[in-house]
Amino acid sequence: MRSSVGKLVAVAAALTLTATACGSSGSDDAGGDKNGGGKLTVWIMDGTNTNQAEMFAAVNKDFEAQHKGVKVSVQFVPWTAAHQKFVTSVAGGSGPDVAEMGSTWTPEFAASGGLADLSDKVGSWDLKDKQTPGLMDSVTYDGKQYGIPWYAGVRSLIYRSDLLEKAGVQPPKTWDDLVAAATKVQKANKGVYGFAASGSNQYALYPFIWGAGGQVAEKSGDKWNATIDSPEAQKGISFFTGLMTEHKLSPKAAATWNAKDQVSNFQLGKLAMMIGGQWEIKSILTGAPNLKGKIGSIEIPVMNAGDTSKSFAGGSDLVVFKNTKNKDLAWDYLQLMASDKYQTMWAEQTGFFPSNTDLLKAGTYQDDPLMKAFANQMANAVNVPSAPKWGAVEGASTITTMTQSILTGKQTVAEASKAAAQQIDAQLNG
Amino acid sequence: MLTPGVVLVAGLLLYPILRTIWLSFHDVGLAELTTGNGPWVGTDNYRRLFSDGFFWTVMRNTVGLAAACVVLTMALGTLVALLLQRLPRPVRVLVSIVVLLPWAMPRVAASIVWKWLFNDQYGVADWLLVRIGLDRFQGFSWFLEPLLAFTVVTLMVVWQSFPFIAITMLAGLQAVPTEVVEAARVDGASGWRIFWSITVPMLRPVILILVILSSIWDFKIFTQVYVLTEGGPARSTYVLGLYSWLESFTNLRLGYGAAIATVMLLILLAITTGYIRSMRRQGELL
Repeated sequence: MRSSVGKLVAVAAALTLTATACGSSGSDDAGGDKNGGGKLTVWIMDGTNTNQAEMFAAVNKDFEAQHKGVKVSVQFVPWTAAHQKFVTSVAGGSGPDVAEMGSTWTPEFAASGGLADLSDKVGSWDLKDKQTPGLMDSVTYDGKQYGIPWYAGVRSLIYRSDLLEKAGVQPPKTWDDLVAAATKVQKANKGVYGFAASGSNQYALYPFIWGAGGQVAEKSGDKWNATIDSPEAQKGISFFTGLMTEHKLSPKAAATWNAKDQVSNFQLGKLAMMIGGQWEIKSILTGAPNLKGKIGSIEIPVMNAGDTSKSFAGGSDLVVFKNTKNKDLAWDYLQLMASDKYQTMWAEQTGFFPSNTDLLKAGTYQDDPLMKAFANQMANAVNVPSAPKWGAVEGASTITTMTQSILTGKQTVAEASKAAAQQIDAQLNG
Repeated sequence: MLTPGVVLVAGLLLYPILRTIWLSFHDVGLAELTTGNGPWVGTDNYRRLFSDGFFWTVMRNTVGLAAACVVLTMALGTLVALLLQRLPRPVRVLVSIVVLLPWAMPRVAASIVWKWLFNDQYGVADWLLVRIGLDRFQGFSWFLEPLLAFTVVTLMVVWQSFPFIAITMLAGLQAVPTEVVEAARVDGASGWRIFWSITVPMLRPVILILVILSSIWDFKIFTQVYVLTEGGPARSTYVLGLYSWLESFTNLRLGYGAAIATVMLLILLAITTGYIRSMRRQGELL
């Protein structure tokens, strides 16, 4: 008995050490292989395109035919792990040559010195002036370009046309319309909620802040000032959260819903309207084919008739890491990805918009009733504050914390927005 | 002979720990990571941490969750071990395999399944509760209140960690000499009395080790909370592990994140040392 206890203690001590150390050891696969000679490593976000393997097999075949002796290896990185992988690869100096990067992250990584300055190449690039301006902004930091835009998405109002018809209402154009329509739909369809006031989906909230004339933060001189507690911004926040707290047009549980939860509830037929991206139409129909022909889209309702409808356009850029040994090769790869052939292929397979405005203005989008609202919304798209430290605001969940506190009744709009403004001030200027 | 082992331990355990402690005394962001250096800030990170009310909320969450998980895991694990011991051998093997299944399931996958079970619109939990007549659970969300959300997290952690406790306890139970138990029974002791006066004292070393391990595992819970609540709503379900990770890799305040990790390390070291001391004392008594 005694010796077996001794052994157990030894095992326990070893396990204890391992267990304690796990917390700090972090990720193990941050790249590792140094790319020499004719080898190009590319990181692409996993799952945006369900045909990603075939698509990149085609891209790489083309590229390798143009560059004899070069071998391209594409790795698919899940979005949830991507930020950490970028951070650790910058720290270890080991990252890929080329990577897809969320457009709100690019300024942050450019500012840190992890990305290669491509200004000279972008300067003489023939497609430079054809890119969506908002996306071109995202790759520009301190007047220098650190990548090229790749694709983008924008959110509008997605609705169930059959349910609205049954209730005898038109798709809403103004805030008042939205309340009226959601109320009637809810009455006419038992078990259906009019709208989703989702607490974990910040991009559903912003259109209402912007719609009321507010901003999250504004730059004056070298400093960023949070303005999310301004009377205008508060008005927008009050309207959005009031759809749940005052008008009871959203399920209470939506206080913790994110974009995915919205989609699954829409698929289940429990939601009549939601703020969603154009790529989500595709996933809604894949999961619920019975909704085919029963979905419509319209630009996000505005405060007063005649206002411009504003929404967030997010997307991805293609960047080159500073540690690459093949900057020219990497730039050639970026150009191939930006070519009409692959911009169109990617857009068709994913449901996202190409960053090339010539392709965006093409008939494919204007003639598609489901896509038209999104394509028009894209024209007036707004970006989140383009501060290099914006990542800190997202990282600390400052906006969703504010929304959730209001939706769960813990704080008033005034209290919560004031607290958020104080945090954002510190985060953007820290 | 010892050198390879020492090198391995130093490289894989000692270096990361020392590096974390180093980071916690520096101001390190993404730009500083690229250069590998950051300005020395003394105990600033720690002072800011300890004067931040939110840190103490997270600490309370972590300690509460860990305590609940350890107590419940130990209780359930012991009960299952006692049950297994009583089963005839072939049945015992079969039941043991079934009991081990939750433990063998990858944590992320299990957490996603639990998230679905407790989904407000199509979760099995709400459906069952409505079926037995509790209509208020129609569309009920388990993740709006921190206490309820932590209840689901606790249930899940216990479900996934009791198998290890049960199997280890079973091994311990089988080492208790049957003569002692039979002697007690002849003397007229009840099952309850035998358990507390014979089984528990004889298994004390095993129980202590299991409590240490459980404390460490449950104190640094990350996956379950990350998947089930993401720390929300409104940061009310943060635990230290999640807090440290978010500060480091999303907020990019690596010094601050490292300070949180170091505090965790110190607390765990204190717990472990305490337990091992008390075990040593007992070892001398045995």
